[in-house]
Amino acid sequence: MTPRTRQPGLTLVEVVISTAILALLGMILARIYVASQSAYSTGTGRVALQQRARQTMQRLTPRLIQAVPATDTQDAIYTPDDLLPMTSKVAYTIPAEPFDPRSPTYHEKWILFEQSTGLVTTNADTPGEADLVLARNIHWLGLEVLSPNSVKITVVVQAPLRDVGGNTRDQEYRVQTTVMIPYYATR
Amino acid sequence: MKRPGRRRGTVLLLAIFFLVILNFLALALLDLLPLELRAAGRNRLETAAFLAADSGVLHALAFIEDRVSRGETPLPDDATSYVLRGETGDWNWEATLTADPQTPPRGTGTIRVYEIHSLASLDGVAYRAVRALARQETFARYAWFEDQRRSDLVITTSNYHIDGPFHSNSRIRILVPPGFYDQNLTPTFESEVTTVESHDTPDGVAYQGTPPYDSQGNPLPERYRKIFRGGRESLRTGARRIELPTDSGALARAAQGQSSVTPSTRGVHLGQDASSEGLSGGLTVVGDVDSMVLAVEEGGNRSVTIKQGHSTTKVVEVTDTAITDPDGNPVLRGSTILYKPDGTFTVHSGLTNGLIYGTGNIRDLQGVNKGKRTVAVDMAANKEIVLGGSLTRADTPVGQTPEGGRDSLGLVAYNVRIPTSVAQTVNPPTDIYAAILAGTKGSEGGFYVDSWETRTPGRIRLYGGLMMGYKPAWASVDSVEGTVLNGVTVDSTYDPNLASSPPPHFPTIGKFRVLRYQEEAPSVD
Repeated sequence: MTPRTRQPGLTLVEVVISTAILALLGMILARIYVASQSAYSTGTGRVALQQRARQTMQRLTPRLIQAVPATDTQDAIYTPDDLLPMTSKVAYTIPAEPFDPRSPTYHEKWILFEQSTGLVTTNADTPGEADLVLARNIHWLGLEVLSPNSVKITVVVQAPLRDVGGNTRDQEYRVQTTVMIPYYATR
Repeated sequence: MKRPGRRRGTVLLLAIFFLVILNFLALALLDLLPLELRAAGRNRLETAAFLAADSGVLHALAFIEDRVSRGETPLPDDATSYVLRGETGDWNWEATLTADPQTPPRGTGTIRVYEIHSLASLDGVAYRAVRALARQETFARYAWFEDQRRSDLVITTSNYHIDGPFHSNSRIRILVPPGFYDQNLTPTFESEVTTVESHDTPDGVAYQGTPPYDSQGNPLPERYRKIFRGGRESLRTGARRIELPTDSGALARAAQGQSSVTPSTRGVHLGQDASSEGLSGGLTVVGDVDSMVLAVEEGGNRSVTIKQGHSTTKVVEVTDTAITDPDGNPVLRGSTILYKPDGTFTVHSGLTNGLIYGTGNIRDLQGVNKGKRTVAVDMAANKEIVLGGSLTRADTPVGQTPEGGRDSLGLVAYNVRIPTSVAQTVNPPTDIYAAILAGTKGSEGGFYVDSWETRTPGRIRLYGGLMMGYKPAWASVDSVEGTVLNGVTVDSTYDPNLASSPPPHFPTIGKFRVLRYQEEAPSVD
């Protein structure tokens, strides 16, 4: 029988090993913490990016659904002739104010995207007034008239975001929708 | 004695500590998920809300169109406002129809306008609203309309060119001259063709000559496109019947305005306000008219000169430039002067509503029209308008297609006739800029050419539309060659502005057109 002795202190080896293990664990935790921090900020950045794309879409849709053709032989929405490279543009007609339903007049509206500035603009509802900026910082806006009653909108936004590896590079978010012009459903 | 394993507690503490930290990290990441979900969910909700509100508008339109087509007033009891409710899935919509100030019973307008406000809600919460404005369509939307066609008349592909909507409550027969399909002519029908009845043929149309289908009745697209621009698809038989009015009582009331007494003495009467000297209607002409000339005065003001026997009445509307009356007093813009046959005159504030209504025949109508105007006669009493010469517009050079609806003219009569003094030659033709409605439901009223069998070939160039109760013969045509031997041909150029901006109080059809459509923030009122 081994005689019961007082519990001895930790050996140097034990202390070294346990410190090393603790340090390792701490380092791993720190890594996880940093990685999740960056994942979080990347995530919120992505959400903000998506939000920007969706907001742009939400600003365009209510405008386009107002399109009503000036006469039966014209379309409510169309691609204008004066289209320049690296831009997209769609034109449509809306009732002009003051509006007399028995003798209506219509006003031509347009929505223009220029890639050089990243701006989405539209002309004012009242002729002569300044153009309005609908969205900024847009990478690409596609405005494609598919048929007289529908237009396909593609919004592409970009922002520099950190990826999993911790490198910062441009990330892209794209939303696409087809807006049906309600006027045609009533014909 | 000390308890063994005391150190194990430290391990547990450490483990809990690390677990808590890891948990926090995981939770932080999870936090992002609902953000995305919420955004996507809101998107979906908004789309669904819009669709629900939109279905309210569609339902409201279908509701009034259905009632009008059954001969009822658009809203039950001809109310000024009416609410419809319905469901689309989990969504509820509430569509409120409101008559505009000129629509009966609020006004005397014949072309009705309703505002539709549709509100979509889910579980009692309003999400989206849509506001639309719908106006009744008029007969002016057609390039060509015929109620009936009794004799074996033909529409020949070389003499007719109809570049707008065509409708027949009857059926049609088309003459196809030999070699027609080999030629490169403009298609006879540029737009939709609808007929209520049909011939017992593969497509419901009787062809005199080679039909555009093969012996088995299969359509030959190449041939169809030579007759109809849109091909076989633009021809539809079995369409809904569209009835012409039976009388012009609504126009008489609109011309009378708020005047409480119906004009009965022979002569020209202005529709006046019930209380003041101001105008609220148009002109009512009691008795036959020997001549009516529409003109533009110096300064751009519009006028009409009406002769009845030895009496001449002139009405000048100061639309553009202020003038002085015969006494030297200034007459401001927006006033109307009535020069009476006895040499006196009266000045009234306001302009007419553009309606000239005659209780008798108008035996000679011609001139230049400015502003929107409708000249109508009592259709129920079989009254007619005889064209005495060209009818042009101030806003359009003769021979050109109108670019807007500012000076559009409508003619409404039981018969509209072309006398032998008009359209005597093919070149130059007689120009008529008007939407012409001639004839009542099921009657023989229509657009007539006097002595068509014997007169030398002449031509009417019509910019507008021709709506007829009865389509009589106008010309005799060589049935093989398609060339005109006698009579008058009508070259029509459709004016789409007449559909979107019709002449005032022009007779209406059961359809409504949406003039304005917008989404708005919901407001529960």
